[in-house]
Amino acid sequence: MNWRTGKIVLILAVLAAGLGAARGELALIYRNAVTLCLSCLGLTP
Amino acid sequence: MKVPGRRRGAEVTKRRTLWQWVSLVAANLYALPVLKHLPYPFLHCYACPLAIGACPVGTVQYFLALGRVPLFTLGALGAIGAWWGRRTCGWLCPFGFLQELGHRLGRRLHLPVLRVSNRHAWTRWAVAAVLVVALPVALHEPWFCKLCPAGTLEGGIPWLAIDPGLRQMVGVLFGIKVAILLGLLAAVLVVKRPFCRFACPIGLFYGLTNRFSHQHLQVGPRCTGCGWCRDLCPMDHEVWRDPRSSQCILCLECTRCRHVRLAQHGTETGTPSAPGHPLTGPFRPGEHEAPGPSRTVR
Repeated sequence: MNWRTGKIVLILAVLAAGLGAARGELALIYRNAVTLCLSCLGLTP
Repeated sequence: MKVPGRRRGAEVTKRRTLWQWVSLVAANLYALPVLKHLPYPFLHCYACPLAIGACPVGTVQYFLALGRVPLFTLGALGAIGAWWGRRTCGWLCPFGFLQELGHRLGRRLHLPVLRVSNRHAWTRWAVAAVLVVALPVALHEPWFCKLCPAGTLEGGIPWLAIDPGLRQMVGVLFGIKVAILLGLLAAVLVVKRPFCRFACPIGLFYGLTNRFSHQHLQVGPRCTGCGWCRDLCPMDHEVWRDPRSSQCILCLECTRCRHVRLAQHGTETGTPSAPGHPLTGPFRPGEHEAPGPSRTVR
């Protein structure tokens, strides 16, 4: 594999990130991140 | 006598340590909670009271538990990996930095360095497959977080210190988490970055991109395989065997040896992308090589 593969992966990754953002994933990430996750205490969130 | 290799290495270590401190502080600026819409490019618990971003592993588990594909998180990490490979592990990750500090403390205490082969790095696949993918999909719970030592250190312990009410809720699993953390903290004294090498799912993901990333290491044809780069490497990686290995975190410590350098697309033939730059320039066959203090002669 070489940088040509890397470029294809880079483009696909940027497209995936853009698609994810368009689907509203940033709001889901925020909701999950600001909720106190009790998993760090070994409990069910 | 001038020893360019040693001087260059000291510059890299100093610059990298500065980046790691800046990243540690920046990742914990609670004044910017708006950034919790975005995942960190490294492992850092979002339950940490000071965290400003989201942990990518926790986010992936959350999405899988919901039955969704985390396109944004995987895309963002993939784009970072395609350009920099695993460099964020070596320059930005606070948990990796903590392990390095622990190992430096072990060296100060004159503890022996325990060489654990990277052949056992398959354990990362097991951790990722079982704890990050299979169990969250099957049980709808983030099982990696339930055992993660970074979460215990950055989220669990601080929250127990802040909120006494939570102390009555913890049970056996938290004891197991603390035991894992203490075991890891003991291990870092004698083993180089054990969590990064044998458990970290983000390192595994970035490691896959090392094969084709824009930035990568290159070993010169005159390398004798003396093993000095392995002594310098915080991942205990034998750079000369596979400079694009998934274990390379592009910390550039090994560029202290004149046979190793950072290459970027367009510099593979030896044309420097930044003329005169000590790290991206061509190989210098005439330059004196500075032997390290613990250099292994084979």
